[in-house]
Amino acid sequence: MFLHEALIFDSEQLPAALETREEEVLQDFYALFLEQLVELQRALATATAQRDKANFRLLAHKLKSSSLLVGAMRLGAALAALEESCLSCADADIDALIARVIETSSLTSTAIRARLQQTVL
Amino acid sequence: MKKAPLKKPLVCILDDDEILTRMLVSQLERRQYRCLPFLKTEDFLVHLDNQEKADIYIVDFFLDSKKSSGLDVCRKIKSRHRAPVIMLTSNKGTDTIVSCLNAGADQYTVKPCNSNELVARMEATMRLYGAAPEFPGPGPDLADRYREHFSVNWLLRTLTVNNGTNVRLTEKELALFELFVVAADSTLNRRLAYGAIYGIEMDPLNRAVDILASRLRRKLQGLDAGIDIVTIRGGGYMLVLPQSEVGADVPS
Repeated sequence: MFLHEALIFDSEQLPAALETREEEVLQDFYALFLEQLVELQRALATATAQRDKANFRLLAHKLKSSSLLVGAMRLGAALAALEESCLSCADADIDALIARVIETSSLTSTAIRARLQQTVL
Repeated sequence: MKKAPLKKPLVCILDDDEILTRMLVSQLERRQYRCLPFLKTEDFLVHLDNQEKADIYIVDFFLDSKKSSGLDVCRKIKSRHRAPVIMLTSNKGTDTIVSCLNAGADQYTVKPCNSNELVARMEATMRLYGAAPEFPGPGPDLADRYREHFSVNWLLRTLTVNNGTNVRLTEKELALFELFVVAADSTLNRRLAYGAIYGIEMDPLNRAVDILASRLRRKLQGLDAGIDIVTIRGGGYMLVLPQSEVGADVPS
């Protein structure tokens, strides 16, 4: 599957992984993930300013699995591509992949916030 | 006669990914396991040294720690306890899997993991150790076999022998020593040791393990406690302890 074909947010993923539809539990996980997204965006900005490739890989790795677990499929795929690129030293791709991660994390954040608001309403 | 209720097996989890860890805890508690999650390697090591032994350990391969990798932690568990270890990895690369198994891991699973698969792997592994829910009761600790000869402080990386002297080891020397402890009275194969320490396949001409063994041997001899490393021709190395069944029959 191509990166852009992956869902930005699959709301069925987390309940399936947790084997529960208990709203309070799901919200806890989404809230924690949103906090981590903010940290990721901040850390990526710092790493970009410092051209710190080792840190890009670490950041990508750190949130890759969590993204897939909570249903942020496109972000998970973008982070996997960034990590892979850092490992294979494909410098040319890295800037584009970071831009993709930043853009996707923003879209993901919006989608998860919308999901949380839906519940509140 | 009434049957005593079975004690829930204790699972120790070390993963710096909070979301994944919380999810594992949720999935395992639902299946009647007790969980002890750790996000920091240092906290986990303190627990490993001082607290209740777990029935099974789940350790992430890629830890966000400058001091220890998942492989280091796996070796530490194995040199301390006779308990199963499952490594969580994010990739299916042969090097990763081989190094996990060489470091003593009993199983590995690729993240994000399916909970049914993980539990099936846990239970299959625990059955081999006699620690599955239906067969509670862990086996003897490896550390108990060695207690009369030495003790190891992992955080300070010191090896203290029973005459009170001690020596500081480098991370890699300690890693090799841990592998000797796990190997007990068998030969420690060079290639397996290399994979377990460095996380990659060994080039046949690479002498890193030989150099490491030689350095460790000098330090052990300096302790003057009768602990030594002998070379097993064509195979690897073996740890020899004084007046002990461990390493008593060293092949010439």
